[in-house]
Amino acid sequence: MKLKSGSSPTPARSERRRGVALLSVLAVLTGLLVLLATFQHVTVRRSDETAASIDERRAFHLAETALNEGMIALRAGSTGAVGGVGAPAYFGGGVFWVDAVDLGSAQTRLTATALSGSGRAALEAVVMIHSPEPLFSSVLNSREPLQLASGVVIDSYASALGTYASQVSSTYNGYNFANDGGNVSSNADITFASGATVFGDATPGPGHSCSFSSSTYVSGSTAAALEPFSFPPIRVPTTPIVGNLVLADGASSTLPSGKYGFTDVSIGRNANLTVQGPATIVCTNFTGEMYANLKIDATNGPVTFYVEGSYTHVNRFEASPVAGSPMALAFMITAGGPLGFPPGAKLRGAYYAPNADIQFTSGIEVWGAFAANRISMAANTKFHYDESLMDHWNNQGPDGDPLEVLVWRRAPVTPHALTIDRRDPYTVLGVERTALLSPAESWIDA
Amino acid sequence: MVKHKHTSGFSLLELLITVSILSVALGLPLMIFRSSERMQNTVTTRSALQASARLALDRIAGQLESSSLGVIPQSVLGPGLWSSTVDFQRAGDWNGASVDWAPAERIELIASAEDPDDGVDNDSDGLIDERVVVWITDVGLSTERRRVLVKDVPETLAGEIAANGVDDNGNGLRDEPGLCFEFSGEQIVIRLSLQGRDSSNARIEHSEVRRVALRN
Repeated sequence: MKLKSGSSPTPARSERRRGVALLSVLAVLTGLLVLLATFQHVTVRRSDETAASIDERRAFHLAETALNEGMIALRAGSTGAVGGVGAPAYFGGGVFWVDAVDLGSAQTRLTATALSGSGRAALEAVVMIHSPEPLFSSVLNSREPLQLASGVVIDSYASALGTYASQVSSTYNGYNFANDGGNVSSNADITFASGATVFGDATPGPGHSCSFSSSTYVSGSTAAALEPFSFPPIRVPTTPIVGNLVLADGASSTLPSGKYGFTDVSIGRNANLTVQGPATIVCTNFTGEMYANLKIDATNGPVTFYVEGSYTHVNRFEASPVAGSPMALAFMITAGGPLGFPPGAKLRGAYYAPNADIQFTSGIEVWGAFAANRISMAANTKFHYDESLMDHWNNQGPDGDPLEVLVWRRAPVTPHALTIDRRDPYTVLGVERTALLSPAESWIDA
Repeated sequence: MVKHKHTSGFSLLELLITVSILSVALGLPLMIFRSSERMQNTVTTRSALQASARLALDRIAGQLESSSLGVIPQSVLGPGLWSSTVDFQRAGDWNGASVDWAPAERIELIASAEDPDDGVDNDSDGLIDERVVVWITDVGLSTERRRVLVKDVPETLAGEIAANGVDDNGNGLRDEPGLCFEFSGEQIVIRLSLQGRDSSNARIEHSEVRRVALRN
């Protein structure tokens, strides 16, 4: 080496140059590796964050699915519970279970817990299953004793099939009548004054009876009910109030189907308000002025007014269906105290006022149904029960669903350890993915 | 000797050609690199804005979904109307007869403390009069608490020009701010825009829309 170095200096410079090149390349490579490692670290971290975020969202949607599964199970008569922490249901790449606690009064608390990847979510709902009992099964239904005044005549027709007059086809004892579905009922006794005639059943409350005077007639049964009518409280739908709906005298307006909230609904003299169903109108006060018309277009669904304050029915105010529509109109009146109708009023539709005492003055004719705390009437009042009302307003939630969600909220995930251990659900729960059942197979019946 | 000297060096022409080739060989990748870096920076800024907007909307939606229209006192309701503030209450437990509602909360768009609404870039971040979204819990109580959900919200939603009475961005709303709530039936439509600047100081805006169904 010495000899080579001493005899020829040029190769030594060349070797030195090659060394510099190697160092340079190594330095560049090191820099690149550091950059690559940093880039990979950032990428992996971002990817993990994104994956965790997606897992959380998936778990939330899975919990919603679980809650709905519990509700479907409840509707079907099951307990509402689905699977359990030891045997969750498999669905959509994750697992869930639903715990159900019977709170009494037909209320159930459902708690749905879902795990998807590292995501965890829990939702809770308290729901109520309403019985399918129709609100308007009788033309008159009172909590207190019912007294049918003298000369009162009660029969039935179906507004979905046309007008009452077009359905009158029978005669009995000098009375023309349509159908014999004009039932009356009470949770207490039913008393018939002379000449009171019912083409239908008269059903007193459990342990109560009917009492008759001269020339009274009931075409159907007079047997007492086995269970009292529950007169469920009115659950007013949650609807924001957007002001008043006031029709000036002589004005005309149409309210399309939908859900509305008003402080006052007032139909002025000779004014016409047409409401297209399905519609739900929540208001504090309702007033129908003289000769005002409330037109109901229930071709596509019923029209329901929820009145939380006063209901004022001025003489000659009338509600009626548009051509071809059934008279599917109901007033749900929450207030107590007397609820009166002026003499000679023509009343169409249904009124549910479980806290009110309804008074029918003289000359009134009714096509519909009434359920109230107490019902009294002048002599010779005519009632025609609308059988088409049975199609609507079952004793259900405000939205017509037998299952009503009373409250919905996010809940803490339990057991709490699940929120700490973020490994995949099968490992955390110690279950075999292939052994898990589908949601429907995981229902827990009573 | 002369011939030897001549062959051991480079002519001026050779040097010029070499320098030219090197300039092109090194300059072109550098230009491409810088161009892609700028593009990457823009994409990164936009991606960060998108992530922030989605996170903020997740949090806002998460609060609102447990509420009910019945406990949201609103003066502006219906399609085409907007509000930059929403007062609400979340459902607590069911007491057997009714819902126990949690104390009042509010989500509100306000001027940033660092950059008041004066048309000047007070905080020298390249953005003028940016707003912040705050979430206030226990409104009106001694325990009231404010949390900033997201910063750098522009005065108006992306594509909208302030106070000209026109729906510039074609979303059905006029002159809406950078955060706005539109009530549609039992749903609330939330729109949020965020703004930022990339490395070349270009202003970037990103908008997100979220529809929230109120569950109670």
